[in-house]
Amino acid sequence: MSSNKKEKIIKALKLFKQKYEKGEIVSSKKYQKRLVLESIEHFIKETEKYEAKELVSPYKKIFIILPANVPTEFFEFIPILLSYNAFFFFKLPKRNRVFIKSFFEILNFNNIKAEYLSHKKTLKEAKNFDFIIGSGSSGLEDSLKDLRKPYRFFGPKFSFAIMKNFSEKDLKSVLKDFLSFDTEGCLSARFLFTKFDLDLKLIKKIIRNIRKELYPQKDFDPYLFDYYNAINLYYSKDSLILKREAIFKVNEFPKYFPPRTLFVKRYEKEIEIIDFLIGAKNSVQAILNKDGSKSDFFIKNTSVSLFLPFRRAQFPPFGWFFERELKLEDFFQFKHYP
Amino acid sequence: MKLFDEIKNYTEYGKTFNEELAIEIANFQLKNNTFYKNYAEKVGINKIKRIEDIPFLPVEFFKNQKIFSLEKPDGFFMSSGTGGERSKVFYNKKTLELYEISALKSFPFKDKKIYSLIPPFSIAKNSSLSFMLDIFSRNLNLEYLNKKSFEMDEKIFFRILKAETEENSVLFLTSLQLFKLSSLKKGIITKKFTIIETGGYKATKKIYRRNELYKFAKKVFINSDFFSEYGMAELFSQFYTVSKNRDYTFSHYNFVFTKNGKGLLKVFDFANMGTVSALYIPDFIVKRGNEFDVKGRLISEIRGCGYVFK
Repeated sequence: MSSNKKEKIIKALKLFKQKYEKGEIVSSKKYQKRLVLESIEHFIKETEKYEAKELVSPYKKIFIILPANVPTEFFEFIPILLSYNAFFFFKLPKRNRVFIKSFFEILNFNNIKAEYLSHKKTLKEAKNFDFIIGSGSSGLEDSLKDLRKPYRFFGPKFSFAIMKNFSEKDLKSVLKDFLSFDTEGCLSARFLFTKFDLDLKLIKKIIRNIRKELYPQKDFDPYLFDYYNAINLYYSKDSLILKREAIFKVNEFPKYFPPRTLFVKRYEKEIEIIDFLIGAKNSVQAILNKDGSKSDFFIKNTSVSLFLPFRRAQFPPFGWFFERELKLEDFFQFKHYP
Repeated sequence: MKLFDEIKNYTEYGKTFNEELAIEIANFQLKNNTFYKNYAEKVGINKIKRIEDIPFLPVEFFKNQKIFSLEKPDGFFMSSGTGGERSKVFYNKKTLELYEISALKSFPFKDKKIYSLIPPFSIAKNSSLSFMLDIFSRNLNLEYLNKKSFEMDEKIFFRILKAETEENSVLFLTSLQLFKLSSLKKGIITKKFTIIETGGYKATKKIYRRNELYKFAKKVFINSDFFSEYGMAELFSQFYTVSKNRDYTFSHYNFVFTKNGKGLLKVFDFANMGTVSALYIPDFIVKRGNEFDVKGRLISEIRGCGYVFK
């Protein structure tokens, strides 16, 4: 049963990729086209090598509220679709509704429905489901609590990169991780910790090169970028503000995180990174380093759930579900119940 | 103080935006306000020679910095804090004098009787809005219908109903008060008021656009006309919608800057001599001539893994 499903999903992913490449789904300016294609290719490979287990879902009807920041994030639910036999409703974000719905239309599974709904209609519709999965702001979690249904909520998270030694090649990779999906994804590198002093002129040169590939997406908000970076500027030690990218060297954790904005901090000892993160250390999603090696120190001191090598921030492995030690088998052993 | 007198005179009698005076004020603020000086240096400005050099300060800074360009403040206003943190805006006797001149200059209905639902300044001691109404009470024909708080109840409704109104008297209230009064379901008010509400439509919980709020309120205030005041604790001048297309009007003393006619609001407020005159406000506007329309407030939008971490 699930191998049949798997073949169908792979076929749908391949056709979806073709259609997207030809511009038949959304315009190429809507998202960073090359990154999206690489991402779909990654999920094709992950699905191909994935050995799906058949699991019994304790819930028959599952409602999934997708976030708006990364268009390809919904592919991370493929293992759940493969393993659990239930009815799934994907509530699509307005911003990515055409893109995501196109995939589900190609897939054409009877047990999956995907629609954009307003906030009010989302909450009304969700009442008809047995289990709700949501990711996004704490405001959303409050709404989920009010529904009085078992739910699993994934709150706001961020990722950072650590460079111990200077290498222009690595820096280029980190900057790609930074500009991926306009730094809006929880896996995009928002911070870069270095053991050396970074040359902002070099960053400027690299960004000018990679901007052709990782250009601002259609929904990039220049006003949000300008206004909040006019504030970030004051608290920075040094800065590089380009038309659509900003790099700030900082000593303290910033307050505002506009798109395409990277914060750089020099460190000597790893404990300095923890001291810098202060209250945000439990919002760490992934840590990027040269070879993606795990660090017991950061596992102990932060909420990190994934270690990835530079340039691989947007390519998480199947079976990783946004939180440390959360496994497919336990996904519906709900964490939250009102 | 020469500069202070110049601003007073200019606000009262000026006709067009005076670049030279604006530059003089901004340099005065750079010289006397360490925070603004530091901010300007971060932007790369040490001395202002041209109007393009003036650094527009994000109003966010009023929430966590002491911003004052004169010797010693006598007190402060606080913003309503609908967005969470509250701004603290310092003043002294001199700067309140500028506030008064500017507030009276920009108020378009000076000849009308004013009914205020904004409580007196003696009650709301840190409210710049209450202070502005206090100016009107001292200089114009104003009567308070609400002497206790910003709360609305049926007593207030009946006070409005009973108010001896001259034709087109002004009813001054916040947008939230207008919303609450219109939601009371205590009947209709047939008297014709010139209703002035103060914006901030998010406070109504159900997010109303201005026209939607007016449509809703018109069911109760059936013969009244609606106008809006744009003001904030950080600005000592105000804007009113007096034009037919309901855009806010600005003048030589509260001049609005944009690039290509749209963007976030940048105001040079001459009455802000005591703090910072060039302010950057996260309201998206479209500017047409000497008017502008506010399209909405920029929010640090949360998209999935958004901008605020717990």
